Amino acid sequence: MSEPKLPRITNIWSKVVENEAGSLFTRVVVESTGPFACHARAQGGGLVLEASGVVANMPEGSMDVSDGLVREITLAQTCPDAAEITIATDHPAGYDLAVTGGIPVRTVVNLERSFLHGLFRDKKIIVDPGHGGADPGGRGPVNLLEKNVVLLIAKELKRLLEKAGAKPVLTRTGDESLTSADRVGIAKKEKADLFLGIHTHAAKDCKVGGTAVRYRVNSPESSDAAELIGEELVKKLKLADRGKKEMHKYTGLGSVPAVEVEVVTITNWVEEGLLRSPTVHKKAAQGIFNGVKNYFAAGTAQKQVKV
Amino acid sequence: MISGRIPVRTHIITEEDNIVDVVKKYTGEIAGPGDIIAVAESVVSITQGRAILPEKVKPGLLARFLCRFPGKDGSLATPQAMQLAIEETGVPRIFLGATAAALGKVIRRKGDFYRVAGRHLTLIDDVAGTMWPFERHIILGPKNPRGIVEEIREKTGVEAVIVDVNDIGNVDILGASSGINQADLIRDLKDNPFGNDDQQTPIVILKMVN
Repeated sequence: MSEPKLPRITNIWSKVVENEAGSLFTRVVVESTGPFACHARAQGGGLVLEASGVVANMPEGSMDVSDGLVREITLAQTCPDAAEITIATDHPAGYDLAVTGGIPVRTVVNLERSFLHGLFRDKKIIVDPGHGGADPGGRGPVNLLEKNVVLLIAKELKRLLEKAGAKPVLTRTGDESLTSADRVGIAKKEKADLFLGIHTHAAKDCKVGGTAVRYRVNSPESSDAAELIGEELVKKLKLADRGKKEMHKYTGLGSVPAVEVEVVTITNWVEEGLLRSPTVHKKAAQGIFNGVKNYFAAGTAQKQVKV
Repeated sequence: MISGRIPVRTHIITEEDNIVDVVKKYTGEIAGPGDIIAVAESVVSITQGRAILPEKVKPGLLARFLCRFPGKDGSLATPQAMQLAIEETGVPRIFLGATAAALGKVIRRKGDFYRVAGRHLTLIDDVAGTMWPFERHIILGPKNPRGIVEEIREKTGVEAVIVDVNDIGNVDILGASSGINQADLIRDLKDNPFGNDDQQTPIVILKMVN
């Protein structure tokens, strides 16, 4: 008689979910063709699932997640009938583990995102979709206008920030004309912790492409925030990095750090095409969110050192 | 009747891969007689070298002219994509399609371009239509999907289908091996078990109740 076949791991995926009480979790799901024994243990900045009586059907190696809490998930077949799934996190997180039957069997790990809530609590973040009304901003070679696409990304970013416990304020929610003074005025009135302008780059040469960040001149905090946001955005969108530049704008903001993000280059044929995809809007918003999160996390760490 | 659907994660499939070998490698230990292996059309095209970087396409005058007319959010609104459509179907048929579309516009009827120029042109995905690292490519529809599903069936002993499924419930069967009930299949794939365009699960195994 032949040996019974071991269950096989066919897929691993994750997403951010909300429970009935409104708390957010990162849910990591390991799908397999049958049940297997699984033990979770905390290790370094994350969690390791030790799985026995199972074979990886999918490729071993790392999958980038970068959802603000989970950085990546790595699968390794440690011996012919055992595997390890490592969930690397940026911050400490409580977790629970459950298995649901059916085809496929799902081994589910829920990781608490309460640490993020602590970082963002009561943070006033001004999200400023650039241009608007009579000022369309940059134009794509086919038909997209900067003022419209940046609003979509800004709304997605506002949603992510709200879910994390921040208090984001959009400077415009429709196709409205705003002066620079209007935008600064909103930030001052709201006593903002951070000002984020959402833009796209426009170039005469349609071959120019990529992502860039700009920061308010003579503001080290703005420069730090821009650096962290740019890094995460490039990682998420996987586009060329056009770098970090200073800007002589928003000087009326006083001590409020100000960053402008040029998400893509709208005048590039391919990047205009990318702007049509809601998945790209979500990725852009998630990249900016991750950078802002790292900025607040760095600030909290500094304060702790000072204390 | 299906008892479950298993999305199967694969490595990043490129034109170096043979799609039949890929399917056999990832489904060999999971799918059995009576099951159905569903393969996303975009990866079949990618293995056939039909993912094309727009910067490598040289649009002619006709493509530059015609790309002004389709819906701007559709797949043929750039000169590069229109040029590829012309190369796929030939100048005379594109002309006939464009004429039909112009007449259709007069009587406010949509879809005449594709009815005349060829349904296969609806399978062209412009940039951002598929997953990384092919989001910068224009992806043409696969060649010979019927032959490929029969080859998969021969090599695996399991029925196979190549499909184009999107998130708004449209299921387009490009090729199905002979033992498949297509009406049931459309119902079973309507909610897009392949996941969104960012997930690396281009194969789904439909397990049948024994």
